[in-house]
Amino acid sequence: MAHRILIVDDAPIIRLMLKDILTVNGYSVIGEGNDGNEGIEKFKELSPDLVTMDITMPEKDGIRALQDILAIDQNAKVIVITAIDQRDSLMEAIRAGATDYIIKPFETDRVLSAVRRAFGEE
Amino acid sequence: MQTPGFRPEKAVELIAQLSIDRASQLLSKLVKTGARISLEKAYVTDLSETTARINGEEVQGEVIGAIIDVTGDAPFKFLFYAEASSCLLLTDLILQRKVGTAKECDIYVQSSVQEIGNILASGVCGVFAADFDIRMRPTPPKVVHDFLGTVFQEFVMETAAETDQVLIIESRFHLDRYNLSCNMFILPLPGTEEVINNICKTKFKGE
Repeated sequence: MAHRILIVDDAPIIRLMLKDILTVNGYSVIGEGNDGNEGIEKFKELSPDLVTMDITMPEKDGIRALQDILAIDQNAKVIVITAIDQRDSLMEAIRAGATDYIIKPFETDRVLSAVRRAFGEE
Repeated sequence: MQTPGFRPEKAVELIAQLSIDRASQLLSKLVKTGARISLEKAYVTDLSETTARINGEEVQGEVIGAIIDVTGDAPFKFLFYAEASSCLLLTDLILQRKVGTAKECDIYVQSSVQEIGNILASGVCGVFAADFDIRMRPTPPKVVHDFLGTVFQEFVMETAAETDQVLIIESRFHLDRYNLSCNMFILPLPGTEEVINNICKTKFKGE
């Protein structure tokens, strides 16, 4: 059965790009969230195998959402996504327990590599 | 006292050029085609004069812009905008679709501008962080789809309330193979100019 992934990003175009990359490569995108709060709600509702989480989002940002998700399930796999040159945010996310990271603008190979590593497929 | 050899205009121009070089690289990577960004001007001006000039620019139809507040040691406001028709093309390039696929300004087109603004503003922050050891963080972009004068008014609104004299760094983008141009404005907020000047005095002493 395909791994089930939740995409959380406030930019619809990034959600579309990620969804295309993941579904073409055999993963199942089971839900999308527009901000951190929606991401947490969808996480509770869908129990995905993996979450991709943008860091810079309105309402609740990706780092706080990551912390909340890990408080719900300490084994949750969350890959954070951030724009290039945001090293401080990235380090904060890693310290908070992110599984891996992807830098925007991203290449398909980098996305797949991070996802496969998270599932122990690489 | 002025540091010997210190020329603030030249230093600000250099910071602007570093930022723009970084933005060119990022935009090229995002749209998968060569992007050239040229520094038009870095200047101190009256906001009212600039607003009047922007209002007089010959932009046909509406533009889509992303406004980003960058917080931290040297806060600034960032604006990226392009004519709505150009944003359709940008969306096709980002999604690697046949040019002409995007027909209307839907959420994906607005989101393309949002993401370009986000990535470019982050790139500019990166220049400040890496080269000048200043910490800054962009907030989520606000997308505005309207006539250029209205978008620019929104961009400068808060700053105009505090001062009329502002430093504006203005640049223009061109994408290879496509007849498309976009614009980027960086508007340092009050206090930031002082930080930049201090950096310049130590980093560019004697240049």
